[in-house]
Amino acid sequence: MIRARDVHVRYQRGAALAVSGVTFDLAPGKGLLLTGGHGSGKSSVLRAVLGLAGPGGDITVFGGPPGDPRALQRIGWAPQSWPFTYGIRAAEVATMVARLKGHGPAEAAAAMDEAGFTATAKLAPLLEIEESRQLSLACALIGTPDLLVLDDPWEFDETVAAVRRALDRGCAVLAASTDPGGLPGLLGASIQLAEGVPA
Amino acid sequence: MSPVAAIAVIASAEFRALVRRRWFFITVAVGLALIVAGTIFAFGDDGLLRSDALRSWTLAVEVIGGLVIGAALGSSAGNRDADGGWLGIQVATGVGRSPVMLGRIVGRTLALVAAFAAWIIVAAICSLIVGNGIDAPLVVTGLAGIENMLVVLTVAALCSVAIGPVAAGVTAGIVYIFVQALVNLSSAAEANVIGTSWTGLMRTLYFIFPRGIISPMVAELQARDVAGLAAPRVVVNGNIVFIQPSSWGSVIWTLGWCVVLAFAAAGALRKRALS
Repeated sequence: MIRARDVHVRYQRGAALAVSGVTFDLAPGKGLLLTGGHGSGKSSVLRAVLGLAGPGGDITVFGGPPGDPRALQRIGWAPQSWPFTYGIRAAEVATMVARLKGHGPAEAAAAMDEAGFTATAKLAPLLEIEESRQLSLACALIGTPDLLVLDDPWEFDETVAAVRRALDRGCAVLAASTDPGGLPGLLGASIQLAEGVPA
Repeated sequence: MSPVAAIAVIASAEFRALVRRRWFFITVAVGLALIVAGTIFAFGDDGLLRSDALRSWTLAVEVIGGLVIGAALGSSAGNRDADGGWLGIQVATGVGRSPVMLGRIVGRTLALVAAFAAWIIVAAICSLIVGNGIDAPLVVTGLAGIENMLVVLTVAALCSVAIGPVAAGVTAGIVYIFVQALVNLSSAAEANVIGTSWTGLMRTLYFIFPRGIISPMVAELQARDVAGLAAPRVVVNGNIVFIQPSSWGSVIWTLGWCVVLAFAAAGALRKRALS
């Protein structure tokens, strides 16, 4: 599902590497947690897997290069903090993601329900941080993906249950967290990063 | 999902988000208030003076307000949302980076059209109130304003992929001034009031670059020097230059440029790192 060898990420030409030397495999039904402090490179690895940050090294996702649209359709992405643009309502975020993935508002509503998110009428950038994490998770859960990529998922009951269900049905889960809590036990494997390299 | 359907979905989401933003609402509302204020002032005049007052006032709103909205909409197309994670959410759905950027530009274009539509409709109502009828030339001027500001929006969107919003907006404003100046200097060349060495250069640049769209109403107001600050009379080397209304060829050429700029922005996004 994911094969990553010596992943390195550099955001600008001439800048220092944000990440280097990260190697891992992730098979269906398996989990992997990236841990480390702020700025350790966890999110950069996730972005490299998704093709959002131009990666170096050797990464294949579903047998193709990172960022391949067909592979991305099978991935549920939950970015960290408040990733939502000003002016958009929470329900519109989930509906947009659902439509772009070929689903409808019903799937968006089901994913929000699964993530325990209820503040659908609020403007998304004004959500509380807990609500923002839940909406982010809901976006990832839309359309029963084959790979969940979760950046800083908070350990709500709904999150744990959703991850467990995903693993049980053969979905792989790649997550990153500064404060992992019980996630290592749930996901099974972990890599600790410090200043962009495996510690 | 087809690229066209993806563009429609993203354009719809972007449009709704954009029109709810406070700065957008305030800019449109201030424009509407100024048009109404212009109508009140116009009541102090009669006949042609009354018509000129309302027209020049509305033109000022469309040029200045349109510049603000066009530059602000375009300059946010590819930077803040790229760093903040919103563009990453859209791209990570797997619809491709180009449809995402094109959808964002289409959504912004719809917001620009909505702002102008509000101003055009209120100006038409005000024109009716002062007894000038719907004033079709004023409506045409509003449509020309949309195209002029679409150039600003698409230039800003292209710049926004590589630079920050303020720099992108300023660059787009400079391009707007440049294309308006090209129209003026091309007219000056046609009227033989600039040196022959400049004439060829001006004509060449005029034919290559997008063109500022001049409506018949603006050309007529400029000729009588009553268009106000938004379209002052053009004087080159001490000679008054009468600017001709834009041809349909210029309208289509400039629209084509907007399409090219939008696709260039979509292409530029392919290389950008997203959060």
